[in-house]
Amino acid sequence: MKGTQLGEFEELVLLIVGVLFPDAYGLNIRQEILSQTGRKVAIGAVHSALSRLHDKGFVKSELADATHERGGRRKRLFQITAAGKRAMEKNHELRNSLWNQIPDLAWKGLNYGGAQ
Amino acid sequence: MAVPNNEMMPPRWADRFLSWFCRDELLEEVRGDLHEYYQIIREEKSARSASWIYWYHVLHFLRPFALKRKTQYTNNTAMFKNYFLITIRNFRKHQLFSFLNLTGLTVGIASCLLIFLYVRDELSFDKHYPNHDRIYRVVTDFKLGDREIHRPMAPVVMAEHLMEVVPEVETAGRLMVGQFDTVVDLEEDILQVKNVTYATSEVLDIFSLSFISGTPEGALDDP
Repeated sequence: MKGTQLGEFEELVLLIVGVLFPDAYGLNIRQEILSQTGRKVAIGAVHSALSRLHDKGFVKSELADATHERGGRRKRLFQITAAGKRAMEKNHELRNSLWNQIPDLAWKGLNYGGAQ
Repeated sequence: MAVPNNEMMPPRWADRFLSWFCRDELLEEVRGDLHEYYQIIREEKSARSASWIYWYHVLHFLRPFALKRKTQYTNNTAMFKNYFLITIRNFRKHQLFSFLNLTGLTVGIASCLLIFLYVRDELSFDKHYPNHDRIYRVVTDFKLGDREIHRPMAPVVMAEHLMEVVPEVETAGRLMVGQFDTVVDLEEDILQVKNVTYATSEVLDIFSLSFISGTPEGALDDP
């Protein structure tokens, strides 16, 4: 079994799979990433991430029925599994917990680029 | 939806390339995605730039997960795996014997390589003499008390004597290389020359020396 860590891009893809439920497939996910984050990723990158997520057991997939839309080619629709949800929760909690541990003092004197 | 007309079809070669490298299980969904995407970009871009974009995305599928598995697991793999396993087990079982065997083999191979290197080095120099493979030097090894001495020299009569008694010797000459300084009395000038080499006339022939001026024939006949 591969490592069950969730990479940054993998997490993004997994989140988008959740957002697009129940109609998440390669191209769709790619377009959603583009519109939500402005990141121009190749379709291949999305498929690659999905394949990794599949190997880790974080998503399951099935082929949809054929339609005339894509010249009769079927889509592969993805869904988050229980293990995928747990991995996302773990990441979420870890992030929140670390975020809360940063002392307020650390933010003092930060310059957001405005006038001094 | 109607049958898509030819104008909306993505570049054929890109598609052909894709189905050449992409795994068959993935091909349907991947191609479907790419074609759908092509329709989207085709609506706002020219055919030319759309096909560039299409190629870009096709090439981005050149990733390990999408490639066809060329090498399948066959009996061969299992066989070699088994061989290695048995080798290691045998090493464990007969440790002393394996150690001796391996050491012997290692030393043998190492010596062979060293001998090869030594011989190659010995044969590598003085190649510029045309007869380099037929030229030999007579040296002297002698013992003085406990000391063994090796010198690159021989008695003066050796050259002539060898020519008389050993028929294989074609010619022999004497040579004295050293840091001798000498005075040369040319008719119009007297020169002091450093690092002079003394030699007999045969040496010119043996080493096929060429002259800057003059001819080799009879050059050293009249000292």
